[in-house]
Amino acid sequence: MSTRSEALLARPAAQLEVRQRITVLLTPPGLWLLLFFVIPLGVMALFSFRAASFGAQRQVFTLEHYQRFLADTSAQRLLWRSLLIALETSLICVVLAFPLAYFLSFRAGPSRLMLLTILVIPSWTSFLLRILAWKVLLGSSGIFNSLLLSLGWIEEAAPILLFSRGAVIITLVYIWVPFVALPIFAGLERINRHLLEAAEDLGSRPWQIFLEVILPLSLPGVLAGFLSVFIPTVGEYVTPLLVGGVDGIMYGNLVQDQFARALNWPLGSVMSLVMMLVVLVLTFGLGRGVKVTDLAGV
Amino acid sequence: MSQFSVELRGVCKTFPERGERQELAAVQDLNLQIRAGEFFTLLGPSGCGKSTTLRMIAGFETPTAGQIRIQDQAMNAVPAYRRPVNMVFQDYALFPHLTVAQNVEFGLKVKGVPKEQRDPAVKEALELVQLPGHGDRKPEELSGGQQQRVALARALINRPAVLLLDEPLGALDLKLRKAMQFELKQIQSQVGCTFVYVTHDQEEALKMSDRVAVMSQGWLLQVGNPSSIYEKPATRFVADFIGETNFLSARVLKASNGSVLVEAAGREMLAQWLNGHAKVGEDVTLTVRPERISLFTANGGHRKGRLHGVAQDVTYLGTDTLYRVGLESGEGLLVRVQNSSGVPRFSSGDQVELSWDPADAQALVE
Repeated sequence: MSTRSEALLARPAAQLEVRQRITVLLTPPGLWLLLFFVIPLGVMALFSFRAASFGAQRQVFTLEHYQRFLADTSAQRLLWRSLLIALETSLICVVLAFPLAYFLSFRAGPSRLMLLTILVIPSWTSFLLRILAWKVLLGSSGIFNSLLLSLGWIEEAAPILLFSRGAVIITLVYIWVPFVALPIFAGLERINRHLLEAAEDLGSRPWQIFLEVILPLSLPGVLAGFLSVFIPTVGEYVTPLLVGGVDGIMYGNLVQDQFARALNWPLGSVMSLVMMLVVLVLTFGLGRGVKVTDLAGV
Repeated sequence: MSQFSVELRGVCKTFPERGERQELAAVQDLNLQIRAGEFFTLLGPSGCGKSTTLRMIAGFETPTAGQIRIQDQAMNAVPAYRRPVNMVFQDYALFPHLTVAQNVEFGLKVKGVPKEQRDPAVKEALELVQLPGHGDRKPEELSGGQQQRVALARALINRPAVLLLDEPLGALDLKLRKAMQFELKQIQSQVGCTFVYVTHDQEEALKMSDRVAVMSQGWLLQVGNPSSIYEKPATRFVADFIGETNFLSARVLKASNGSVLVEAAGREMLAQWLNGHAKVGEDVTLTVRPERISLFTANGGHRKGRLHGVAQDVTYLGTDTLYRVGLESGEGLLVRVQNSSGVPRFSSGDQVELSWDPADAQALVE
């Protein structure tokens, strides 16, 4: 197969053929992106300048909603809060996933691919189901409350476990840990084992090998794992809706409200665009040096 | 203190074979003494146990049995990071996240040597490998040969008692490899430490080493200086692996100390015998190097001590001509004749006579 394509590449006409093949291969995903990403984004950008969602005001273009957002400090605070929740979630995920990935890559031996599969299997169940499971676990008759009650540490079921900022973070961490472990694992797998031997040979003790070689070389994978949680978590709205309560509300809920309840699509669009911009800036700031392959976890 | 830099006493290494109950013996009952300041080479085909031996000296593998001593100290229980040896890896194993200078100073840094002492040492080490001023570059910006030098500097800066080199020139092209062979020898004479060098390239081993150990399938076959390895091979494998050679099947007629009378190619002839006591009637192999065989023009009559044959293939090699001569016994011999030696040039189909000095023929057990 490869020798055949190499032989084909040798001829200029064949190069054209290859180019055609690439075009054919890239057309479906390109169309998909255009239809379901680029165009909706354009529509949303358009909407952000409309005076109203419906009626005659729809045709009036204005910067009113941008001004409204800039004046709305509560929305900005909520965005800031959501960024913090996303940051905390991603950091906890990295801290939990790193030892996991380290174990899989360096200690698990030949069974590591099987263990990796086991790690990912829970994410085959529905996203909603896994959140609801936490709702049960954290609920007033859930396992945590029961345990604390039976230990006598608390007098009555603490509702604070559920419907709180903490509940949101716990649930999100649970959901995302495998997806952070994957890029870190991939990053660790790419470290040439001779480097560890070289470090030991040069007099490094095990902890020095970790600090001087493994940790710095794993950073691209760590960053990729961090971003793969941080980016989707900033705009999260399902989890806070189910386990967040009043205390655990996030920016995504506000955006959803604008579209679903207040029917203020232009303001919702402004909010979405602002969030995208903030995440984009942060990602580019952090993500310089991260390769696409790191994000893909391969 | 003994004169030996590295000593291996009855060292064995077996690896459990994956999924099977049997074990894979990588090194079997290896006894070696490597002298201080020596350029010692472990030579053999891939899988012969030479790299495993080197890795056991470095401390990356633990011997299954036996003892490894470095500078008269038992090393079995000493972890790699505390052994007075350093290794140069085949793939260089330079730290990609560090600059050349940071790579070179790595060993000093992890041992807590202060920066004021590290900096001049790095400068000196880079000068030793002829890379002054390359300290700020990243390894990936350097050529393969330059990376190899950095790896060398990174190891030598620690002033190891023994430098271990695992096929260090394997990834370089031929011309660069030859230049580096010469340079490695020079660097060794400058730093004076013991070099233990692993290679599968017999030419490289002969050219560079003070002594060579030939290994095959985990066994040590022969240790000696390059000329004794080449000229007095102890086994058929060694004779075959080192350079070109001829083999003739033979039978022992008479045995005396150091030499035997054998029947080979339908004739009686004398040969060297180095394997202890030869048994009369035993089947042996006779080996003669192609350049030790003389060719003569055949002129009828059988002259004593000469074999008869027909030149079959003639290959001109510049300095030499290589003949393939078919003997009357049906066996073939390679003969290498120097073109400046005055021997007439034969062509394919010519009748020739061959002879060699009995001192150049060796009889070997099968």
